[in-house]
Amino acid sequence: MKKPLIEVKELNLKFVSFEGIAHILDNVSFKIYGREIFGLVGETGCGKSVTALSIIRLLPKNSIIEGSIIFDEKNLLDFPEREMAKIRGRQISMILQDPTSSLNPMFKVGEQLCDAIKSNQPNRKDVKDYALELLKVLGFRESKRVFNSFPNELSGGMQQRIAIAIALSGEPKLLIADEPTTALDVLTQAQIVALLKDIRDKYGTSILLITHNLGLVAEVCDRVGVMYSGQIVETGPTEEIFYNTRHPYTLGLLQALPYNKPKDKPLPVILGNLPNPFNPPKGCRFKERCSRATKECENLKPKPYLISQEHSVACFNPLGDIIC
Amino acid sequence: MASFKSYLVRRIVLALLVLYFVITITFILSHVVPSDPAELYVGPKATKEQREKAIIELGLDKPLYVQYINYIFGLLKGDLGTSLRAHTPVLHDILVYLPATLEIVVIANIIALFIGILFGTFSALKKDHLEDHLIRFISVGGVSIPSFWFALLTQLIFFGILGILPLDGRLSTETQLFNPIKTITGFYTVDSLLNGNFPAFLDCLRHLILPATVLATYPIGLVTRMVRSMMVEVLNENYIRFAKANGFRENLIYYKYALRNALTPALMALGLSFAYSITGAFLVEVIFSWPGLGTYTVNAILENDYPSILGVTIVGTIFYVAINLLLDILQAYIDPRVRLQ
Ligand SMILES: Nc1ncnc2c1ncn2[C@@H]1O[C@H](COP(=O)(O)OP(=O)(O)OP(=O)(O)O)[C@@H](O)[C@H]1O
Ligand SMILES: [Mg+2]
Repeated sequence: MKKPLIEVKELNLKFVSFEGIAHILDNVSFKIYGREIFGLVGETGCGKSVTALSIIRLLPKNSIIEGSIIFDEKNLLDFPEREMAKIRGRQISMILQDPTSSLNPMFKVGEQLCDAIKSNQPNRKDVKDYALELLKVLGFRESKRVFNSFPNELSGGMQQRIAIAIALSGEPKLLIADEPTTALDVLTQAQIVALLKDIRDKYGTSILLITHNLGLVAEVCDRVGVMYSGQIVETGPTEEIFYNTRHPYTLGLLQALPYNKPKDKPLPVILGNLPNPFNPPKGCRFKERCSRATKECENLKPKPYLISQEHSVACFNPLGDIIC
Repeated sequence: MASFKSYLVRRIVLALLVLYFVITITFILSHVVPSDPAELYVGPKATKEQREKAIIELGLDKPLYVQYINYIFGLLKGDLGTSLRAHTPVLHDILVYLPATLEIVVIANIIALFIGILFGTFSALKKDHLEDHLIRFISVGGVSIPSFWFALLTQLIFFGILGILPLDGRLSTETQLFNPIKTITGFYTVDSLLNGNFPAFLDCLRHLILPATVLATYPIGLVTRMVRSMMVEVLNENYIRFAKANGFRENLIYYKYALRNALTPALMALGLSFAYSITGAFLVEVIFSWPGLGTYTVNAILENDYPSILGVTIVGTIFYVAINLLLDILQAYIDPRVRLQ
């Protein structure tokens, strides 16, 4: 069997604050292989961003993290900050949801890109040429003019492309993209998505694509993890998730897509809210919003199990073969 | 960039307007205060004729608006009037006293800039650790300690107990006698170096240390607090998290990317404290027998020597306005968002 590039194993994350202990991630496990785009989907607040921040080890100080994140046969969670700093940018890098606040407004984008290259490839002599080349790769025709621009002279899409250039400056093996298109208009979204795909094809970079846009997932992702309230409820290859849906929550997400809506019916919504992280319910976390919940779901926590070689689901009453 | 030029022109016009209003208001105020300028001019023992001559000489027989117009026209020719006490041109007096003040104020603010940035940055990076608490304690002290008290304390320690620094003045008597400084700019440190008079230069520095340190305490506290709070805010910004996530070297992140963003407000505060000290340092000047503009101002006010008061007001206002203008230009230089607006 193929060896994964990164394997997140039973990640548990808590935040400690005055209000108490918030249980944010519960036994999150997934793998990302080389040259793969892995999609992490789920609604707002389910813990997608904190999963990403756990991997790159930039969580706030009040967090307690358990489990392991195996990268290159080593557990990143054991790394001291000094070692981790060498991983960031060179092995794993990350772009953020809001491109307009990702770049420092005080410095020209070219300078920021050069600083990234100097930091991540200290032996490189042709820093500026390489920066201009990266800009070309990211589809900037007038790379010289862009190089000398300040961030707020560029559009959101352009800023996001600069951010991607910076993220690629150390030729990382894994690029984490946390909702890279959410803040952009539809056309620019498509452009960025195409770009991410290009990057994977060209450099073999694996991508962890965080999104709540299932359309995007269908378009580019090889495999998907569906997250609900800090747990991965279903994970598998994209076609499996879309055409062999097993978890009721995944089905809910799919049915909420506008193009799955029958003409005469309103868009279905998943009723209810996410459970309270300070006091997570016993048993299945989705039970209160689930139409298939039984007594079993009340008290016992469903464990993820494999239903085929790559497809796993955490549910006591999974759906059968449904085509939607 | 063209728009920035027109912005500058507008700012300069505005600055001149401010200056004009301040002059007018001070002129009116100093003339409605009950006093007898002619009496002050000729002294208490003068005869009636001398008094009347003085009234004509000073133009006090003319209506107030004529006096005002004459004063403004004098200003345009660079004439700030004649001191009622000393009978010397006010401009000349101010140019004698100003360099002494500038010398300590400039040094104090340079000290404050460096120490403030250092402390503020360090404090922010060590937020909520012992170092942070210590620096915050010091900076609160810096802004709240009364300067006259601190001045006396430093004199007690460094002159009285340790005996390693002079008590007051700009130069020791020996230097004035044996290594006198030929005045060129009025800044003794600069002049002594221009004279090639090294012993005098060292003596100058020794005299500068205490008053400059005392004057620096307030701006040190101010800049430290500003830089710390801005730095704490900036370190939470997305672009800092982004830079960290993408492997930017730590030094770059903290001392280039974060500090540059945290610096502007500190510079603004420092500029204003600088402008204030030009005439506002008199407590420190008096305690250190420092012949500066603050001392000059207080004496002028106490004796209602209105040409001197007006002169000092004008100089003080020019500094305020010029520094504000300079800060705006500086800010535009540092922050492209301002420049591009
Ligand atoms: N610093 C923090 N302290 C306490 N709780 C936090 C902190 N950061 C995030 N959380 C909580 O962790 C949970 C997961 O947050 P996260 O930002 O990962 O969600 P998300 O899935 O990325 O949502 P979105 O789609 O809105 O970005 C939320 O309930 C949030 O309130
Ligand atoms: Mg998020």
